[in-house]
Amino acid sequence: MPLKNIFIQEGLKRAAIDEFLEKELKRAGYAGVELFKTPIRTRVVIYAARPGLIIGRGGHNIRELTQILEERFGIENPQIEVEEVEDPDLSAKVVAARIASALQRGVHFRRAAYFALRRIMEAGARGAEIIIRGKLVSQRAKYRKFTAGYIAKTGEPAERFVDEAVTHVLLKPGVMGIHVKIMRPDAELPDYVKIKEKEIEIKEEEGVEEES
Amino acid sequence: MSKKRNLFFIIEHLEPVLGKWVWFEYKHASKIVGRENLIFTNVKNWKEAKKLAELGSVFNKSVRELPFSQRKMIVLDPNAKKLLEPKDFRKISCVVIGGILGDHPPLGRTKKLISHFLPFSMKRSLGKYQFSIDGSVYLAREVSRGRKLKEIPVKVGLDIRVDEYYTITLPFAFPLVNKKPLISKDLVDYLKKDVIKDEEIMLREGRIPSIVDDASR
Repeated sequence: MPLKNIFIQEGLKRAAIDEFLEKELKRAGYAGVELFKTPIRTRVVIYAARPGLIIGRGGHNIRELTQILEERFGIENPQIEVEEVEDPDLSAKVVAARIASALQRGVHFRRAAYFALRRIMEAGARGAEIIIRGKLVSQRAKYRKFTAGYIAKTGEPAERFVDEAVTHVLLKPGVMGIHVKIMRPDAELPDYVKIKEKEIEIKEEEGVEEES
Repeated sequence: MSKKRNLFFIIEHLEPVLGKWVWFEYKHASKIVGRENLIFTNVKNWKEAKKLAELGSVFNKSVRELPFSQRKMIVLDPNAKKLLEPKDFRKISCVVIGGILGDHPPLGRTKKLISHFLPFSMKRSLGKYQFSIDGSVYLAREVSRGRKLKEIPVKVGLDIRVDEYYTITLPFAFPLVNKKPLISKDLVDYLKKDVIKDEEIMLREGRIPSIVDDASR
């Protein structure tokens, strides 16, 4: 098999696993997965807001998940580790899933989006954008965009600092798409100039000494 | 001396109810071409027909069942291969426009529900973008007056800012008139204030209230 096909297949497998876990672990606040291949095993690190739900009583759920990953996705000797997301409000996947579940419970999308936006900004994000798309009967298709703070849209900062997630939710009037973008609090933009204050202080002191 | 013929604009109403959104687009279309030149067809609900009579003539039958000559008819269909041109209007007496609130991406309902049943009519497109009903009426009128489609500027996608955080984006094309997108003021006000009420009813009951229900409430 050509080398590039191996990479493509690996990527496809990762995407399929991610999609499967997102569907299965919706209630646990699934936030992403990382796969590390070692000579004897494959480390599968699942990030979630509520790890307890993934592990299950006595590790029952995790054993089931290990079996599925091995049989359905062909992962050799998978070893699942579950890690809690530090701040679920800064994970785009968790926020998107929360909005989706609020919409399913009958909360109006405007209320759900405002609530999510406020929580993201309170968690310290530099900026956030929530787009809810869809068409209601006898209404034109439209996007409802909720934005706060600053969010990089293009270039390297958009790739490095923006966490992005898309989820779909089926409601009575049709399917709605939820697109969440969060710019991390630690994002340092390339045009940001950091002034080192300490050095200036030392120079001043030296100057004072010289004068005296 | 040749007598100037009237051009009729026929809107085939295809939405299940006459909601506020479609009403504002129809109202704006009526303002653009005049009540005497606008015809609504396929309006099944008599209460809605009575309301629409304020904006133009109303028929409960579809345009395909009415005695309009198909050979003197242009159907504005986004799936048509040819673009609408001023010369198309030489022998034409009416333009048919779908009374549809579009999906994004479009579902091609005009072809399935109108063009398919009018095989002898002329099908023309307004370009690669999807326009609102009033926007299509405006473009058809301008082309009938001799302007070419490419001479009419359009804006694709319109952002309506509701408050500091919330923006509604309409992913359709709007013709520019005096450098401003052509959209009904009533519709913009509706989107800013009242649309939330209708959407709450839609999410709760699965239906958008008709403008006639609204009046009776």
